[in-house]
Amino acid sequence: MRESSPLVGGLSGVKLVRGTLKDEAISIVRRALMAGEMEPGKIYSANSLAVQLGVSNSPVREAMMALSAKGLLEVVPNRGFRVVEMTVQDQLEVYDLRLLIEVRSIGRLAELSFAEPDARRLRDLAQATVTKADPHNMLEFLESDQHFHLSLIEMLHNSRLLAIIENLRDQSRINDTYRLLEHGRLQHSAAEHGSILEAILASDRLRAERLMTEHLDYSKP
Amino acid sequence: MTVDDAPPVFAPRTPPESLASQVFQLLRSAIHTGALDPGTIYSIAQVAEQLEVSRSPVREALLRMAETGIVRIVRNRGFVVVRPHPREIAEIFAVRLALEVAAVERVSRVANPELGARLRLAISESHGAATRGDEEEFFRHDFLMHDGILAAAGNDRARRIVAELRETIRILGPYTAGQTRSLADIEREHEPIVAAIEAGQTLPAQEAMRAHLTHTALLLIQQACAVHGAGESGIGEGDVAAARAIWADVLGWGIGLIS
Repeated sequence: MRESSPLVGGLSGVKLVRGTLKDEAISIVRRALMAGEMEPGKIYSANSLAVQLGVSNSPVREAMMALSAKGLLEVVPNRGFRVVEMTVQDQLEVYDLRLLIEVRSIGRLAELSFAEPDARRLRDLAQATVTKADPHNMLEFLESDQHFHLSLIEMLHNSRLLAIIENLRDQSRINDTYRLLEHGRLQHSAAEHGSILEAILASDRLRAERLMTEHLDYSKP
Repeated sequence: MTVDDAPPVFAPRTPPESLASQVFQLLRSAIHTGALDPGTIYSIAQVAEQLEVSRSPVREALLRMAETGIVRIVRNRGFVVVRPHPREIAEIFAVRLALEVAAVERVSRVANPELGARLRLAISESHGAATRGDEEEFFRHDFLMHDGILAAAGNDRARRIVAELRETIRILGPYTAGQTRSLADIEREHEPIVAAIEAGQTLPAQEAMRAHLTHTALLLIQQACAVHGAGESGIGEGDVAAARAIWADVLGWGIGLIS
């Protein structure tokens, strides 16, 4: 009675070779999720994914368990894992939390002083998101976008906060990857990164928080 | 943890996850009571044998716990219960402040006597438990009070995040033995929070929640500083100063620091 588990597109040619296999598997499955290559509702088995990746079952299974704990996948007993389907209520909760936590964190950053190398690095990351704002390569844009935002939050040196914000950002993207594209707002959204960063570096807390709030508008359900 | 009876023929098969969940609950309460000591490496095989289950549900339960930072898996050796560092406690309370002050603002926009009555019940129970020195009950009702406010505010994810953060703080439980008197003092700070919710006074409600979480955080950070410090007993002047410095570093000066 068991239907065959669908293959995940974009994984061909990717082989796990180094690092801890579990961490690599997490990152590969996460990217497939963010890119919309895994469809909500379909059931994916750790076994078939492991075969695709050319590794043993257990690191892939552990990776999928970890992504389930993060609310990105759901365990389907005896069958595998399903991509979480976010209801409007789910999306509202995530958006609400991002306003409460992420916007405030950006405001807090404006109270810190940044060493020149850090400021330069963050400006480079903001610029990279503009360079990569290409609708034909959403995955690269999304990765650089995530890199910029999480590098900002890292400056607060709060590992719990970082993990929570990373997870909220992932949750707001799942099932929703291409909305930026639809709204034709990709370039615009990327350009906002520079303004947010400059407000932080100018120690203008209110402006940084206002710009970040506007920046999150696209993820408003 | 043995299966006594065969399940009825038409009953749905119990999913394998439920065994891992049971192990999860057992391990968690062993951590809370201090039966599993932070810092000791425990072997997965031994735990499995003791619980009369195979290793895989134990592994799954531990992976879930590792995800929330309560335990750390030690490759090829087993796992350890993670004792939170003073700075980590400040980090956790920084997140709780953001979520719980916002929640209490939402539930106090109009006078809310029904919620107030429910919260008062939890408060009186935790008072009683603190007086008896019953930590388990004390923590349970303290949890119900805070969780009641988050539930009424309507964001389930916020509620789950706080519940997970509290799990980590809960590991400090055994260390608060002998500190129940100061915990009872802090518990009294629940009263103005509930009064403001009943009256629908938003600003006092937020202020009371902020003060309460800040006091609790500082107390726990001081205790953790004393534990991590040079083994002197009790909380010294140095621990109080260190706790304030950590708090200020995580939250910024002027946020929630009460003289």
